[in-house]
Amino acid sequence: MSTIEDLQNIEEYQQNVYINHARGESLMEKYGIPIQHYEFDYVAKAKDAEELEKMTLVLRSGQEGYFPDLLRAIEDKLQRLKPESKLLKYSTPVLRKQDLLQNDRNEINQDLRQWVTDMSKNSRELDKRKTNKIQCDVKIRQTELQHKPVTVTTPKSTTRIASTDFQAWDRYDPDAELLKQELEEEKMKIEAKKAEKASEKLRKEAEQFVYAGTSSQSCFVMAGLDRKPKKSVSFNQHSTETEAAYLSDRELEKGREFYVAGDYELALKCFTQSILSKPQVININNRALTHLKLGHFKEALEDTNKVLALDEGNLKANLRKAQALEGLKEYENALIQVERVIKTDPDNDIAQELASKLRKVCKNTFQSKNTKMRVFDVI
Amino acid sequence: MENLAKPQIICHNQKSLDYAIHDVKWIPCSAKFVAIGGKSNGAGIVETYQLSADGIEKLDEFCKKDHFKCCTFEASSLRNRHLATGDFSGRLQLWDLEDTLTPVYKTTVHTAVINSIDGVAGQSANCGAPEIVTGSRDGCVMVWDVRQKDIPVAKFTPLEGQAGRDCWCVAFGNSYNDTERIVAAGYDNGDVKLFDLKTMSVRWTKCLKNGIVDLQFDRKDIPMNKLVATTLESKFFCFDVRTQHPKKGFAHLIENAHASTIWQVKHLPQNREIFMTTGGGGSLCLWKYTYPPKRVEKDSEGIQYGIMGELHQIQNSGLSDQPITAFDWCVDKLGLAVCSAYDQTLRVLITTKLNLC
Repeated sequence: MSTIEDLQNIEEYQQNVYINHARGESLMEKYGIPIQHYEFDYVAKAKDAEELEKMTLVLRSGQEGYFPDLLRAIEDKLQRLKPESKLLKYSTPVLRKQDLLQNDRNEINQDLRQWVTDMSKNSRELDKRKTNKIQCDVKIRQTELQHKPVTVTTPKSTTRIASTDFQAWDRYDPDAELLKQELEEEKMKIEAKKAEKASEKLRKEAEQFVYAGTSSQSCFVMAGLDRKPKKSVSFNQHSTETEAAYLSDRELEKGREFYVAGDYELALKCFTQSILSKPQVININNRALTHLKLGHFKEALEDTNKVLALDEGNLKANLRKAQALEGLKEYENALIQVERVIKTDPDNDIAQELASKLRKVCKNTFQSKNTKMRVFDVI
Repeated sequence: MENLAKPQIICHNQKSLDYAIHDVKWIPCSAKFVAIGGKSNGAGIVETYQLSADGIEKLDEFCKKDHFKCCTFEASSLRNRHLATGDFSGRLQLWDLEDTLTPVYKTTVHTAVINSIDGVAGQSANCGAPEIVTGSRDGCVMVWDVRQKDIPVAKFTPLEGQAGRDCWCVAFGNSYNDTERIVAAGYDNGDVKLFDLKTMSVRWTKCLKNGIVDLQFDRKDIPMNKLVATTLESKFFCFDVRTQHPKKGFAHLIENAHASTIWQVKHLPQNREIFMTTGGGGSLCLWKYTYPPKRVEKDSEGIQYGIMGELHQIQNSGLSDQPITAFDWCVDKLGLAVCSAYDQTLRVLITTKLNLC
């Protein structure tokens, strides 16, 4: 930075000082950090990120003067101690294509070109099947809105009794009011319980949906959730491949989000929907994992078998199959399965862990069954 | 090192136009998008652009009488892809982009400009009838079904005899089956209201003390999960709308950003925990929400209440020096987005490494 700019900065900061002093307490007084701490040696040894943050704020405010080097030192230290600090978030300009490395630029362009070609193909397919009709089996919403529009602003009904209005206070019965309040609270509790139950019901329904989906043929789609497994099915829901793939992808994304957030039942429902739209290795594999999480080992096994039928070497499916078998207590089969995984991917931690666990279990059951037989470790 | 792992926002292409752009939207399942707005002579314009690896090229345009303010594709099926628009005189129109002489559907019930429009259930199955919601300066929020002419299927109006507050934004949510559906509306006085369409009642209302510029549920077709509302003065609110406590309401957190009006909030279609906010200073902020270890706790009376997680800013970029007033993620391609600012420029953005965070 040039000296002139420095001088200007100092001047600005000094003006700031006046303004802030007029308001009273400076930041430094507010935080109560002793002046001795504003020093390079102290900063180098500092361990308290919060104090450093405060010091940054004090120095940035300019109330104490202009110390660019010290500020930089503190910020560097803060970067090391607490890289996620909000004070270190700077706005960076959006990158232009020219700023990128040649390689990255080519990669992005290539990727985009491919996507544009694929998309245009899909789009043309959709355009060909244009109907201009709205197909929907859900009825138009019926409300008696002509008679009773819902008002946005609710009128205030509670009027406060003025402290001087003695007549009104005479009429006021504290016991009745208390009772009223209690009743209201009671009502609130019931409402809350209802909401709780509703959300639980939602989960249960989601889970049931899955069983309905897995038991029926994959081209059948259950029409509604709240209806019991009545055979009201819509056949061949998507007339174009693009639509099926689109819906499948959307449901897959939704399922993943639910899975990450820990809502496994809802995730399961989404994956099932996705599979119903278009069975793919990725969505069946994801459903297998969710089944495992929920402890539905039989379903998980079914799903992994489906994936393996499509793609024999699928590592994840093989591993999940082993886990499912373990859950079903078929330890020997699980061991064989997991060793198959280890053969192709020896560095897989989960597989190794599972294998060592299974070996132990297998050994034990072996010994208990045939006590007289000598057991050799299988390596 | 840190920079390499962080998502980067890249301006892939930009194009200056000769009119005020009010909204931009990707056409689903294609590499095309529309830009709508109004010319200086008062005419409204809709333009269709095609994205290619080298740039963007204009395919088509049509002009109508009034400025178009907002648009959406989300209430029409993939095979139709009709564009629903709201304009300055309060008309809601539905356009077939290949035959734009007359609209497929139109209503003129709103008496003032339609500020905001949203659609639901056009492209997804098992989540109810396709509907459009419009919020207008006349203070009304109306829900439309394209199969019913002239009359809205639901209407939320101010009290009779009162001038309504200007409704700035509307959004659908909670549409996880055929019956449930909620409309969120934000007003110029800072009110946020949730209207339950199943019971036709106001589910929840809260005043955030500052005009609500935009709001959005993280997803429309799931049991409602999160709601983000942005305000005039550099604050935005993130609500966990999963659990509602009868007294405390919804848990929320407040974040400061952009140091100016936050014009837009748009959740990433591929990951609902990530969203972009756009600011009046032309900046873009990318956020990621992380859930707390336990989302629901019970208070002393055994009633559930929600607990907020944390918001992390994963990118903060300056794009323009004018407010970015429209932004849209592409549903079909992770990280691809288009936005427009008051400097009358269209920009196609690519955000990298979104799958890693």
